[in-house]
Amino acid sequence: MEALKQTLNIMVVSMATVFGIMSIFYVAIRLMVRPETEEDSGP
Amino acid sequence: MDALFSGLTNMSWQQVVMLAVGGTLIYLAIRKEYEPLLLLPIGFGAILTNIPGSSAIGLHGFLTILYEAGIATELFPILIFIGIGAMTDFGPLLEQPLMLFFGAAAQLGIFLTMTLAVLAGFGIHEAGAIAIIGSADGPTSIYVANTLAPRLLAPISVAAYSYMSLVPIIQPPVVRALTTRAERKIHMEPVRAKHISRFVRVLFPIMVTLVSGLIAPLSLALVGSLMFGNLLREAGVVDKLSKTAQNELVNLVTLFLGISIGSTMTAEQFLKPATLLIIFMGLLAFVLATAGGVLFAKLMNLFLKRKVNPMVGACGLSAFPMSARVIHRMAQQEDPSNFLLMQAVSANVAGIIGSCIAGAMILAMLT
Repeated sequence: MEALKQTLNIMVVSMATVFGIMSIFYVAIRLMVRPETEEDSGP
Repeated sequence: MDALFSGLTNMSWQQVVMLAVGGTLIYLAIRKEYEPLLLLPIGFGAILTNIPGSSAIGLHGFLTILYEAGIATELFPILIFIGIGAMTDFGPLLEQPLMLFFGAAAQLGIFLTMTLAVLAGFGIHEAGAIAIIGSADGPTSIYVANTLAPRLLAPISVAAYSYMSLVPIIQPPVVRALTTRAERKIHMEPVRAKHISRFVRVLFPIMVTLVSGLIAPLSLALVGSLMFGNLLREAGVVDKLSKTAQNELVNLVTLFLGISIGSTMTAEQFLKPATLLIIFMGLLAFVLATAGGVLFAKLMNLFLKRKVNPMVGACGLSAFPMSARVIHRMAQQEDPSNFLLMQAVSANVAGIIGSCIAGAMILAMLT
């Protein structure tokens, strides 16, 4: 039971961390790579 | 004279079975082309190890020396990651950063499998080592398994590489079961192939290393080596180093890694009921990882204006580029005008990063 509790704890903390790190990457890429506008895409 | 024929006279039935296992791996590598770069050396290593009195193992055996130098120290998986980084183009991901989240969601399979492994009676360290098969990432699996449960390294490595080669068989039924035909036909916004500046391409590996390292320092060995390889590729001034990492380095280390893992496949370590359970758990991990990605994509669609094709979520595994190809082919089967390759590749490279971080998290929480 203790091991199961620990496993669930690892799952929650790890998934939160992985999503947290990916969110930081997402924001950073959004800031680095300018979204393409209609004018950029041309006729 | 006693040494002559000792291999034959001292052979146990368990060793005969292991010779057959080694032969089967070589057969699968050559005839079926299942991950031949790894399964062939692993299979031959298993044969070298299971002949009684083999001089390839033991105190001065070259396989033992290779194992101690590269697996026990975890050097080989790290060196392979430098090569993978040098081979990976993160451009599609930089164009579609939303795909990053699939690289995170698919890691759910690892942690669900870990829970099931604990319920099946494995210790928590062993459960963590087995579950990492779900990352679909060979070097990460070896790295984590060697730290948490070195005695399970052989079955875990064999399962990880075998299932990676079976992605075209494992993923489609799971994806079909979790999606409707209409969902599988969703067209995604085409990638416009924006010009990603060299500055951004160089900054990306440095940024990923810094962020991952500052939040989860244990991920630095894996993420850092992956990103170092990518920096060599993108820097544009060290082409010789980049090409060496992509070819000579990765080929040489793959050879040593495979044959060293084969040397761990001794009869007493491998022929246990637990091995079958590990192989089953590995399959479960792949299925759950695929399901995690697909279900997360469906969840995202509840909030997104421009829907994503939920099949792309299945590419959050690190099995690159196999998973992306499989999903692209499935989309084409449903609707020949649907091109999902770039989106699938983006999710797939995100999976490489996600699996490194997930592996590091397991190590951080269990060591």
